[in-house]
Amino acid sequence: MERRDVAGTRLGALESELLELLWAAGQPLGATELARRLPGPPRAYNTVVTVLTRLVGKGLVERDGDGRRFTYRPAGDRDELTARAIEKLLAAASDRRAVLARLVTGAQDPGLRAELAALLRDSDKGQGGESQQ
Amino acid sequence: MTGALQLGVIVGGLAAAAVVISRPALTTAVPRLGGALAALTLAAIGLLPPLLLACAAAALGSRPASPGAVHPDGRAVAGACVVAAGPPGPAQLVLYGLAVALAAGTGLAAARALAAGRRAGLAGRALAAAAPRLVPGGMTAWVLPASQPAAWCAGLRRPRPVVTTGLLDLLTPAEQDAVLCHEAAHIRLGHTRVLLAGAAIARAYRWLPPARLAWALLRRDLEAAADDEAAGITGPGPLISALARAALAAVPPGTAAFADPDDLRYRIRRLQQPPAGGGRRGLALAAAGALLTASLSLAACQALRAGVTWPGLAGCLALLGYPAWRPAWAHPRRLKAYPP
Repeated sequence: MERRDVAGTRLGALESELLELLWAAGQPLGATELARRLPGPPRAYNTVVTVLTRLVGKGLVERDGDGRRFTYRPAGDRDELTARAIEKLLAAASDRRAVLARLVTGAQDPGLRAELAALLRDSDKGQGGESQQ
Repeated sequence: MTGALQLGVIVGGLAAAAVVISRPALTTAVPRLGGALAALTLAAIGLLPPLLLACAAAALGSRPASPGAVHPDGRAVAGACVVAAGPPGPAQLVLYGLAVALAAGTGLAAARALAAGRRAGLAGRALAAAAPRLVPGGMTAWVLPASQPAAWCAGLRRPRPVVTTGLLDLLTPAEQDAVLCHEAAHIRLGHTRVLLAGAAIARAYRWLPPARLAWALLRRDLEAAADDEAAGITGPGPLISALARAALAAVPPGTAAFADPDDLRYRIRRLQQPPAGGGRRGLALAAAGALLTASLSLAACQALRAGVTWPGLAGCLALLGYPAWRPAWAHPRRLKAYPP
């Protein structure tokens, strides 16, 4: 299947086309209207709704409606979606159980912090001394 | 192989594991072997309790149901003690239930760890925003534009080092390379998968003191092994100061601190004064590890009902031995010289 990079998410061709349409529209659209606006051969309504639901699941598109008729709008512009993805990734990478090979940051223990600060002072002093020679 | 010899190997391997995890100072000079032994110990902890319970249930089933009744076939039970002959009684059902519950607990923890690991993999919009950077060892790391200082091995199938610009800004170029080499070493030595499996077993058996000891040893020794690799490329100096700067870096509130203070002290002391005398200890630990691997393979063969034939044993050995030993034998010499 053809896949395109839209705002950095690897998406199927139809997914990215729908997202582009929503960005271009500037207003919430229904699935019927989106299906009509899609370039190329006509797509079944059900196909469009399925792909839109997938986009909602990925957090790229938001859905409003009363349960009978839904409209769809993008969850943000390209930059916003990227920033949100990075934030989400960093949160996931902070999960102690998920990422085990992770560099130690944000040590809390006061004794340890004092030791590390002293260590850095010594090494910086040592480097400064060498460069002066 | 006779039953007594099998039992001897299994018990001997477990005894060797108990000695090593209770005396972590043994592995200071040889963290790769220590990591392999800790991984094998965790595998034993994940494998043996359900197996022993199933065996106990089968042994109950092999007794005559009523005095004077002759059991139809005792040998079938003794050979592969997972399924007992005859209809199971209530005591047996309880034991089987416990065995299944323990195995299911491990499976659940593994599934959770896998899902969490997948979430922490670099993909989608975050991947597109990241910039590639060559690590001195010859691997590509991803630099993520984010202010929060962080570096980790991202992804399960094809893990890659990921580092944020927030962390790189804190470090000198040599320190940046040291951090990237450290994370790349985790990946090259196959640590990510061993850690994932170990974390799942340690989580499922967190009420068991040996599991906690083996998990602590595994984490400490894999970090030390990656430190050794990185120090071999950039020298220990940049790595020590990079570790200190990263640990002192402020993180947003609510972010878990990834440090047991004693672990970090241990790593820095090791880098400042590289431990000597790895040769004999290494030999002893390798022998202990071999015994433990054999012990586990015998037990795994029983579990898989592969029988204790030599081909079956070799299969079980490969299944268990490969992932655990890979961190120990992966060779560091593929690295290019630093600085280029």
